Amino acid sequence: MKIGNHEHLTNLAKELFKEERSLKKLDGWFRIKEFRRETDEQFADLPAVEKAGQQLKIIAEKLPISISRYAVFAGTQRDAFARSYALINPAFRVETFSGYCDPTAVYNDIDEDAEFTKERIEKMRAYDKETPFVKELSSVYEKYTEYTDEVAFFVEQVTGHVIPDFRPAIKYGVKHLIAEIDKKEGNDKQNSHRRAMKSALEAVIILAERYRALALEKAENAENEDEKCRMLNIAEALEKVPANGAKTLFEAIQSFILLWQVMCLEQAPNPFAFSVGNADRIFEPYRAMENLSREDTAALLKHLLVFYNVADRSWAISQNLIIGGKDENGNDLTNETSFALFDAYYDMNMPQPILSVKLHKNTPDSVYEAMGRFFFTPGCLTPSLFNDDAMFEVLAKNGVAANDLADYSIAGCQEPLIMGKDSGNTTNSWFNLGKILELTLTGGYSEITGKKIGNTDDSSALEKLQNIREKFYKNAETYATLMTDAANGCSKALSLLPVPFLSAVMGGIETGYDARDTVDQGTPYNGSGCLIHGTSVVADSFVAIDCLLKDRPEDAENLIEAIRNNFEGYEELREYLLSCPKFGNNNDVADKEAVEVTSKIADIVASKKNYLGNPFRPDFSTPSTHLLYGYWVGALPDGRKSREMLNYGIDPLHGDANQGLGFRTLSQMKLPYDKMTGGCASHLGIDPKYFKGETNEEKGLEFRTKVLNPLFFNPMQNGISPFYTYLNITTPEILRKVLDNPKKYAPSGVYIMRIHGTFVNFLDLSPAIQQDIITRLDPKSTGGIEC
Amino acid sequence: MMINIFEKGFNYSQDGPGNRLVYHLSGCNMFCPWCSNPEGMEKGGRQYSTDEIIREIQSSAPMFFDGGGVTFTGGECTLQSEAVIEIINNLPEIDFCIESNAATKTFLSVAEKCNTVIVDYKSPCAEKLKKITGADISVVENNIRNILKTKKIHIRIPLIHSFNDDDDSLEKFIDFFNSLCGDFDIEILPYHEYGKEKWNRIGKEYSVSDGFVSKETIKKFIETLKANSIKVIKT
Repeated sequence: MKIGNHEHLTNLAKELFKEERSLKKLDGWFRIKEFRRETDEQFADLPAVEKAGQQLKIIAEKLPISISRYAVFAGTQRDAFARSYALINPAFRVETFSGYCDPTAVYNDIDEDAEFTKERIEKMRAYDKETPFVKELSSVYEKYTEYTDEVAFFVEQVTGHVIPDFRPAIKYGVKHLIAEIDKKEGNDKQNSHRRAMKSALEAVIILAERYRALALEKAENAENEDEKCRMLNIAEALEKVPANGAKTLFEAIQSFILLWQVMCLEQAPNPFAFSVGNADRIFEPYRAMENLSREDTAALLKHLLVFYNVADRSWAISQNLIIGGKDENGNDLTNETSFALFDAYYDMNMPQPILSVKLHKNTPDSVYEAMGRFFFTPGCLTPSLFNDDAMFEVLAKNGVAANDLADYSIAGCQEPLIMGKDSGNTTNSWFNLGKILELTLTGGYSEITGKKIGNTDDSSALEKLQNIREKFYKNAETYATLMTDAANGCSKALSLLPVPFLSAVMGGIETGYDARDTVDQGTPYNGSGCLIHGTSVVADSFVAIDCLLKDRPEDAENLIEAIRNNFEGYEELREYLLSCPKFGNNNDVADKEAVEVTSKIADIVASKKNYLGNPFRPDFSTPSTHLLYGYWVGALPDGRKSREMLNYGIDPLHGDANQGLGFRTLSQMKLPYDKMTGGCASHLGIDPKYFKGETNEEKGLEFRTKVLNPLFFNPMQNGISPFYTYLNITTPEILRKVLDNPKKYAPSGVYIMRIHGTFVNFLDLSPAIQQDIITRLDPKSTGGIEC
Repeated sequence: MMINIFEKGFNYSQDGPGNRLVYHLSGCNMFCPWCSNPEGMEKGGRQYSTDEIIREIQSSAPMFFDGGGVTFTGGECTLQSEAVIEIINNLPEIDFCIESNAATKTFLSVAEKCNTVIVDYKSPCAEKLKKITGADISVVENNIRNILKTKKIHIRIPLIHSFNDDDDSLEKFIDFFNSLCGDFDIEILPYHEYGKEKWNRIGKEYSVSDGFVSKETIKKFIETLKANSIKVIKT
């Protein structure tokens, strides 16, 4: 390539990442807020959606821009993010975390200095508090605070968290999309929304032109020929893209970066979990056009990967990028760019963007061989794994058209959405089954604070236990109704902040409606998510109650008193409860209960409708919230003590499955995956010694044979197979050593671990989350036998 | 009928073909000082009914991939032959394997019912075998000769310094293997101390102090066996 060979480009990417990680201050989002405030009056007469389009153009015109001397492409995400994400914030404490429900809390995440004075920050905060969006959202939270304070459920407005489809914009150019808009005719609302989309698309052309001018300026002042060449190359590309179609891989990536940048600026601050989608399919046509080598392709892609890392802790989190998979006819879609992406990821080993791999029963050996080095290199990022065969079935059953199936990909951690077509509001609501069981047992009083929450129930302890299922599911129904009403309230509040740019790449040009519109559906697919917490804890509690009533009826009355006292003075009873059958050991009774809890709760959630009348999507994942919400749940009949974590996703509670990987897999295979339309999460922590192969490639194939095939592609599976898992192939002992001596075990300062759907620098995490990762390795649930 | 088991779980390819549900049965007729499962020497563990085990095996079938199935090992699994045979008889569709020291009178009755038979042949020296492990070599050798009449078997040699790694032992190993009729292969299992910690845990003294064999010795054993047309494999 004229800008240098792949080794040189790789060195530049590494310098660029180093430079990014040295950045401690993020203030672009604040300037964006100010630009919006300053232009409020100017656009006061416009409908909100058109105002949003115009303001995006102003942002593109005014935002300070720069290009690093190490850059190969122009563009950054920095201005869209604040230093907010709790789990990588050292100040984070489980005890004080209260969710992201205050949209003005972000003003605490900017450091005051001479430029950003306290007065300036407070002025902006005060202004924001009076905006219709913040007022409406606050009123929703106020209305439901009785339930959200101790997290019987939680709700939030969902920004980010979708997968745009930039392919038409990259291929034909943004001008072509604008021309498409011009051709459309609709009703007044559609015309207005499309005008907004047009303005928003013009913003990216404005930004590209500014970067082009800056690149030329930098070329003139370049310190050396190499830098000059790269700056001229950027300028040359920006003459064409993103306004016009890309003809080379370089142009395609440059176009993609600026489109992404504007999409994020539109939702600043903190549009977490925007995701790339099927990256290898996006870029392969351009690589193939040039017949670019795997090394050169990987070198360019390394710069794309660096783009996803924002500042010192990679504050833009959960940006998913997916590789591999099959088409609707079962043909494997792995290509040369897939392997170049693997190479780029492995060599860079950065916290973002998170890598996922789609697998199916005919995935070639080479994919597993390529993954071996990730799984078996300590401190290296690892892909999370999706089962296309199962996922296609789940999505088809839930109304996704056959020709859209291959375009499903993952938004954020594990939520399956159709790329460019699906507004899933994935994290809209959060359901805490543990708390609901607690309130059912106590008749509506919190074990944690003693507060009355929800309906009271004065029946006797024995009566409660004898009818526990009926009472629990009735309560679950009541809370689900409240929760989804609240969640819809959040979505309606958010619709006050339209997103015309995103809408243009999410099917909005065709429909003529904004992706956030709550009356007319802007995206071809729409739903709202509900993350369900505590399935196995509740199932194991039901089983323990049954056992107690059968074996020790004389103790039944004591159970509720025991859990009120967090088992203090009832240690023997707790030991008994802990010895009752638990999910995750291929025990029929416990497993059937887990299936029933999962199934019934999924049905309750899916019966609720969102603001457009589409079902809520049950998502059995708990992205660290098993820990945060567990903190608000008292002791339960399964023997779990007060404030301890809930089970993670669909997994058994740590320590409860103690018979090894085979039995745990058998239990997990029984769950009703067809009902998990919003996704699910499962984690396996496996001792590296379980794998005997001599090379990483051999171990990659061995991993398929020993772990993945039985779980994902088991010919004896009844019903739909599990479709998602992620792994950490390590042991608690290894991680403790890393924490004790990071200089020895992670000399670069980066030791990547998987934590729910995302991966993170283990050393960046708050201590509570580090301990959570260690605890959940849960080696007894995944080990082979000791003998 | 009841069966005593001290450990169970899945293992891939090391205890018979494919992925296998491995039951470690309690109680052993030998007392090998290098044993990696000393907790299985006494007849303790947990008692299960054979019906429970049959149900567990049936429900575990999805895990028997790559030609897998169930392996009984120990301790010495043939000491509980009646229970094992009852389980096998009830599950004709399952692939069964035993890992045995072949030093019991009940060995044949169980081995004949299995698809795969793995036996230890620890030493070709009768005296040494008797003294160190308590086993009678004639029982072991007769069992091996008899089972070879109907089955292919896999024979393992735990290679232990100052017990069976000398040239004299090697020569006698070869003599014995050459005297066999039937289909078999050999695997050398070099001494390890994975079980050492368990001895301490159960309050027993681990008495082997110099069991490790050199790479050269392992290579010599493998090459000499092969040179004598004896099939050597590694699982």
